[in-house]
Amino acid sequence: MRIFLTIAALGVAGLALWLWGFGGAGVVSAWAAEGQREAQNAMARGLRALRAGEPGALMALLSLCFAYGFFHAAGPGHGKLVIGGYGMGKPVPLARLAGLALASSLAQAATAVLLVAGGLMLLDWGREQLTSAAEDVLAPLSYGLIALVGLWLLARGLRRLLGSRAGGHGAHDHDHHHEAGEVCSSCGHRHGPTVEEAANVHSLRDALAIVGAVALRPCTGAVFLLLLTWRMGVLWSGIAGAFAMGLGTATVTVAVAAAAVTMRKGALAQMQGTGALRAAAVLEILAGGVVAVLAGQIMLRAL
Amino acid sequence: MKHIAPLFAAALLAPQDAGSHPHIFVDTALKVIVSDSGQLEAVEITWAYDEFYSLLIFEDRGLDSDYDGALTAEELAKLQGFDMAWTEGFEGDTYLTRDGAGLEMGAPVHLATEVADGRITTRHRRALVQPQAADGVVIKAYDPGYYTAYTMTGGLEVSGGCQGSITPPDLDAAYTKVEELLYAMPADQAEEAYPEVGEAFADTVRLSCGA
Repeated sequence: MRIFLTIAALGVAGLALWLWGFGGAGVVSAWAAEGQREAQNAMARGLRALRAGEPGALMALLSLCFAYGFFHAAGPGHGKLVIGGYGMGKPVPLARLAGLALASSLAQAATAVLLVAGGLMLLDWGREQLTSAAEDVLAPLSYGLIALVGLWLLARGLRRLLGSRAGGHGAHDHDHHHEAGEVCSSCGHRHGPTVEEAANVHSLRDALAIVGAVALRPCTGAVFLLLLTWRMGVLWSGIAGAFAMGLGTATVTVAVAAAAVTMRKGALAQMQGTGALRAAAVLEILAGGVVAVLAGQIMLRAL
Repeated sequence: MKHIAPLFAAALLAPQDAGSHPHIFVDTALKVIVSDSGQLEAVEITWAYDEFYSLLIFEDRGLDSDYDGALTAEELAKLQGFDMAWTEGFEGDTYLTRDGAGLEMGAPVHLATEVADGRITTRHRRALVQPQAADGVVIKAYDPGYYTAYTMTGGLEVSGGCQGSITPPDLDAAYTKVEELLYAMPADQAEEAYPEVGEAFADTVRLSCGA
C-alpha cells in the first residue's frame, strides 16, 4: 500500500512538473481555450434549436454546458486552487474532498442563478449592474475569503508544529492510525470530544468555508447564459444549463482533489510518529501559505 | 471590443481572471492596401464573430426572432455598423508598427455587415494618417486585455506587389505569461498595471516588398 501510494504521488508530482516546468500548462490551456470556443459556438446553435422547439435540444444544450464548464475549469483559474490546497494541507478523505469539490461547483452555479434571477426579478437591475456586482464586488470578496482559508490552514499548521515540539513525549511508538476515542499524541490527554468528533466539527466548518469561498464568485459564462435565456424566454433551461456547467467544472476540481490527496498520502507514507506529525504540520503550513498568497494576489487584481 | 453593445459590454469588459479566458472569439482577415510605389495606405479588417457572441448581439437588439440564424433585410439594416461606434480610448484592436513604433491610423470607415448561419461578419477600413513604405511594417490584431481573441484565420491579402507573412503566436510563452501575471506578479505592480496579455496571443503579420 505504501509503495503504491508513493508511486502514485510520484506520478502526480511528475504531472505537476510537466504542467508547470515544461510547458504542459500551455498545451493544456490552449486545448482548453479551443474547447471553450467550440462549446461556446455549439451552445449558440443549441439555444436557437431549443427556442425553435427541436426535439432533444435541451439535452444537447445541457451536455454542451457541461463541456463548457469542463474546459473553462481546465484553463488557469481559481476554484482548483482552494480544493487542491486544502487537500494537500489537511488529512481529508478523498470522498469527502471530492464531495466538497462538487458542492463548491454547484454552489457556484447557484450563486449565478441567484444573482441573475434576484437581480432581474426582485431588484429590476439592468445587465450592467448585474455583471458589475459579479465582477467588482463578489469576485474580490471570494478571493479574499479564499485567502482567509489559506491563512487559517497556515495558523493551524503552525500551532500543530509547535505542539509537536513541546509535547512530543511518548510519541515515538505512535503509528499515526487514530481510532475513535484514542488519545492523540499531540493533545496529550483526553478531554471533551473524541478526535474523530473534533475532526468532524472541523471538517464541517472547513467545508462551509471552502464552499462559501468558491461559490461567492459566479462564473461569467453562466451569467451570460442566464441573461441570454432570460431574454429568449427560456430561463429555466438556462438555470439547468448553469448547473450543468457546475458539474462540468466539478469534474476538474474532483480530479484535482484526487491528485492532492494522493500526493499528500504518498509524501507522508514514508514517515511515522512525530516525524509524520511534523511533516503533516509543515505541509499544512505550506499549502495554507500558497493558497493565501495566490488568492490574495488575485483578489488585489480583481479589486 | 469596448465599442460594442453597451448592455452586454459591461459583462465583457470587467477585468477578471487576468484575461486568462477570452469570452469572444473573432476570426480575422486583413486586406492591406499598398500603392504601386510601395506606400502603405490603408488596411481593411474583417471580423467574423463567434456564434455565441452573435446571438448575444441579436438578443440585445431584438433581432432574429425566429432563431434561424438569418436576418431579414430590415433586421440586417438595423445591424449595419453596430461595431463602429468606438468609445473613447478604444484603439480598434488592430495595431501597426515599424521598428516597434506605432503607426497612427484614422477613424474606421464601415464597409459591410453581414450575417450567415448565425454569425455576424463585419468589414471596416482604416487609412494611415501618414502613408509610408510598406516594407517592414508589422500588423497585429489583438485585444490588450484578451477578453476578445482574434485569430488570423480569415486570410491575408496584400496589394502593390508586396507580400505578407503570418507568424503564429508562441502559445506556450503566452500562457506562461498569463500564469506569471496571475500568480507571480507582485501585488503593488498588479494594482498599477492591469496585466495586458492580449498581444502575446496575437498572430504577427510582417510586410515585405520587392525582391
